[in-house]
Amino acid sequence: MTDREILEGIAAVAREHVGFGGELQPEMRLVESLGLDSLKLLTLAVEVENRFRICLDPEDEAGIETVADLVATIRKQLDA
Amino acid sequence: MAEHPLRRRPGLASIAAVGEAFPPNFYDQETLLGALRTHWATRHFNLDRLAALHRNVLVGGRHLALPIEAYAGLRGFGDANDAWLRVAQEVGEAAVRRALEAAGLAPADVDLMLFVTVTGVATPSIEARLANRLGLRPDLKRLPVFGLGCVAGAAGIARAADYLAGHPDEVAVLLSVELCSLTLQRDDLSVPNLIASGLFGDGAAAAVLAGRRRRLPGPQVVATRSVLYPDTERVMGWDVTEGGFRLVLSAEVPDVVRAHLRQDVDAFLGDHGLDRTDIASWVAHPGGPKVLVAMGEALGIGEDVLAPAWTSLREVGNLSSTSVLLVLQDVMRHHRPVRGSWGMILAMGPGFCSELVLVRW
Repeated sequence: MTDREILEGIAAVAREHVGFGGELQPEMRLVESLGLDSLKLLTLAVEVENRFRICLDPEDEAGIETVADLVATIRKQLDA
Repeated sequence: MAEHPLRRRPGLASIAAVGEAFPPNFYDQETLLGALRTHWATRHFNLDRLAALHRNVLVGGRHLALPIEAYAGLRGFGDANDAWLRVAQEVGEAAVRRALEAAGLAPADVDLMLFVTVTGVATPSIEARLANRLGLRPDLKRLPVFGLGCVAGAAGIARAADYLAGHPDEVAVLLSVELCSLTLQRDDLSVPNLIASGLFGDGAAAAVLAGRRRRLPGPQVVATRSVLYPDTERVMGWDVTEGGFRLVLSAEVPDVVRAHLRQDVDAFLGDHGLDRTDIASWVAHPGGPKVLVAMGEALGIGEDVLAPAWTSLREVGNLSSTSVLLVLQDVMRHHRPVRGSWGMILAMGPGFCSELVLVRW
């Protein structure tokens, strides 16, 4: 799976589950740019795990600030 | 120091007693978690994350209206509400009997019954059905209230006291029945609903209030204050769907508490010549760990001051409007403040809103 495909997967999750209607860009910040509160961040994490059939590492997850960070964390789990 | 003028003024009403009742089906949180995991696995991949979410609400166990295996057989809102109607009468009757007995009163002494719930609907309403079961008088005044949610325990005390201020020879019973488990939407596996499935429990509590001329002992309700926050309808509530009540819960609840509670409490107490340092006892609705922490921060009080609320949360979960009455009962029985000291009963709920009740112990 390419990083582009991962980004598209995240965009689909964001549209369907946290109501994000715009164009998702890697540099976007989850809290500030996407406007996600704590429940929506949790929803994004749960639904990303469902879509990619992975379990995010809690330590990696704590460092995620941007969409690119999330792509990298998903990539790490997919490659593990 | 001069005596505070409110100390001499008669209260609106006294809270003579509180009685509680729970359905007999009690499960510890790990048992409930085990039952839910299988269901979650139909949609979710990382079940350990969801289990952690359940444990984070710090609830040790909960009473359920039905045995756990019966929930899968509920085919929709009609089935769930039928179960609610049956169990609400059972626990409601038991709670009222206990409260009246503790107050030394009989069903025939009751002039007003105020019934609050947000977990089921009934016409005739529950207090009418209980009038028959309990032998309440035919001229009983009935006031069923649906929709106040978690705030209804404190609001119910406030409205009963308001009524008794104008009817000082009368007795009012506030009955709260909340069977939250029967509102759980099994097809809703969203994060807010997953949190709710770990947090909310079932039970009932009744408070007996008496007008000042009845001279029944108990904490005196001295003043009440309602505060409704503009444009907060989606902070918490229900969306009513074909399947029943679908939870609306936003992450903003602790933020609303931090933004408003302190100034509202200070304004209310200030209007009565008091401040937070005068309050010896805080009886708070245990909305959840984050809400209780936010309440403590907003009010500048330590976790130990809210210990009865934390204990109630740990022992039986959040029972919506019933919870603050359970906390009140615990304080009346086991942590009764010094006679003459000030106390606050407070809750927040859908609206979003606060209800503040000043009592003199």
